[in-house]
Amino acid sequence: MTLVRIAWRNIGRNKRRSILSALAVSFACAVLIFSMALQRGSYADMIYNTVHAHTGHLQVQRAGYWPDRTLARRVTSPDAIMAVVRALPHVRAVAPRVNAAGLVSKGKRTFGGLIFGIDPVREKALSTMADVIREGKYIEEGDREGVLVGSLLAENLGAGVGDEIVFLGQGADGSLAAGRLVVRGLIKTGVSEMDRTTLAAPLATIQDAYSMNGGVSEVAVLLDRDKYRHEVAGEIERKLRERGLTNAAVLEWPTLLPGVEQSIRIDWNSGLIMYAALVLVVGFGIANTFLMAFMERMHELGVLLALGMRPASLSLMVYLESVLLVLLGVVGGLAMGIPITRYFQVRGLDFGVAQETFAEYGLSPVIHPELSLLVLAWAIGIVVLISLAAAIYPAVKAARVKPVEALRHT
Amino acid sequence: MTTRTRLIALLGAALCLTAEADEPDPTEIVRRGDDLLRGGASYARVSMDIKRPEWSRSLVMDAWTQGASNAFIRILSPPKEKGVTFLKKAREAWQYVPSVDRTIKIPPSMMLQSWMGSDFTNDDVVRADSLVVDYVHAISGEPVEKGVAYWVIEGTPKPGAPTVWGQIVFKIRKSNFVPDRVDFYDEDGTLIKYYESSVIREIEGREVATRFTMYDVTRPGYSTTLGYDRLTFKPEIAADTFTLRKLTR
Repeated sequence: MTLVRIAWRNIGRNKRRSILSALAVSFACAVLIFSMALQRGSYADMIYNTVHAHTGHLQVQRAGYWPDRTLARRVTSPDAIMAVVRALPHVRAVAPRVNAAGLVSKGKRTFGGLIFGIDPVREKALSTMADVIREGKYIEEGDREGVLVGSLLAENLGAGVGDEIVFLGQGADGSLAAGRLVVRGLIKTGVSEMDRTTLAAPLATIQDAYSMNGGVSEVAVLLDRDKYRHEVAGEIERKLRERGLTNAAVLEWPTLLPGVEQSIRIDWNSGLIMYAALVLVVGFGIANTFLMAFMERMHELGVLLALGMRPASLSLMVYLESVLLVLLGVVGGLAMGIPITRYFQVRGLDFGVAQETFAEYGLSPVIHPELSLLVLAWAIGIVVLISLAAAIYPAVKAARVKPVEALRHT
Repeated sequence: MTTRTRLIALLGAALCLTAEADEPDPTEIVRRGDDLLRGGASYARVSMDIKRPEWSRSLVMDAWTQGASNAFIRILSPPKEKGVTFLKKAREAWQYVPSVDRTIKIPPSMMLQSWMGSDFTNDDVVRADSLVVDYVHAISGEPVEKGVAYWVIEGTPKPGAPTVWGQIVFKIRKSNFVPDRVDFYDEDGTLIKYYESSVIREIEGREVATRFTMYDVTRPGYSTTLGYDRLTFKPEIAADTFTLRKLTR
């Protein structure tokens, strides 16, 4: 305890030197907090946007439906499942869907497409389907033959609003699925892959054509917050088991959108390596100031040893000085980093310039940094680890100081 | 062309010919196997049994073919598919669906999709001679199993050919050129599906497989068996059989 007090006083002895060392740590810490929070925030936005675009946070499917998505593996009692899910807290919207594949044709042109059978009212509450209509209008309730067509697909087919198209596919029982639909609206999500293949038609029409017998491929569930996802999934599973609906499975978006989950993980990990490299550079700077401070005080250290201080204690004292400096730096870093991050978390950071690129990945150009314990832990962890590693060298040198030489040192 | 280059070309051709005479040309073997069913013209009443873990179903159809390029198929049952017709000319295909009264041309992007929900793809049906013309063949073995002598022939895609497989291995009976088994591998060398002949009969002097099955290795429980209930190589084919007009009638 005395050593800590001595170390603390030593720091106060040369205020300017100490403040500079601590500031280096502070800046590293603050920069890390802000950029990590920004990164997490962009993930949160990415998740929000992709989940809201179509998938939902959770989906109830027939066990074994994923990942082959065979039409025959269908949810046979969607209404009972939706009733259970809707009653749970945090559930904002629930929508049934049939995911069918087929050929879509108009006149002499034919293309492959993915036809979603949707409940227009429920779908509107869950996904952005109704918001991405660029021409015409959304399907109304009670419409039996309307269809929304991806803008690129419509272009390829040469189909406009009011035109009739024909679809052809294979039903759940293997039989031929065919029907006529009338284009009500064109959808443009900005994701060309979707705009080139997507169609959405009334649920009952697609159920009948594809011999689904009233079944659906999935029940999508939208929550108010992503963080409740796991909890609600468990709750749904429990409730369904209670009601004897045992062949249903609850899948969370990371399973349904493995690409999003993976790109987040890759981006985060490569970010961590970047930050560690950045802090390593700062670490060399810190090591340098620590070492300088140590060399300047050689005479003083020699006196301490001559007075009978043990080398181990001396080494510990030097190390404690560094620890205290790092701690001061971290406190300063938090004091700088947290308010700045919070400010932009509320206000949002507009990257308006790259709007198109952002749209392609389902991102909005405004990013809200997201401060979390995870971010603080990583930022502090990296900074503390590297600075304390940098402080080892002077401490080791202190243990080897020879009193006589040190006293002669000027 | 100078006389000398012409002479060299001739000599080269002669050399090739002698080389061919010594051992059977693998491409020719595959072609003969393929020609058994598709050479000349044919009419067949075919039943197609599709098996899936969740369901199984049978389709009955009439099929007319002329050479490798023309084919016309009319589905007779089940009722939901009755009257669906299918026309193949060269490397294009059309399907007519009476319930929506529409003729649909199968787009190139859909060629790898299942044909009428079976384990045969549109590509299998439309580009049937692709296995002969788009691959380079080499004999890799001549095993004798249960007293039957076979050629095992490996086909690898010709550079630039529009092929879907990385490798195809044919096991063809020496006695009658019937392919007993054909294995389809992807580019990574993984077996994706295989075809097996189960009944071989003599029809009008030709020995042909009248019952064969395609198995999807990637999806257990998936298979499609084709059986010829009637088959003749001397059919009466109306002049307008292979026309778009015929589809809707």
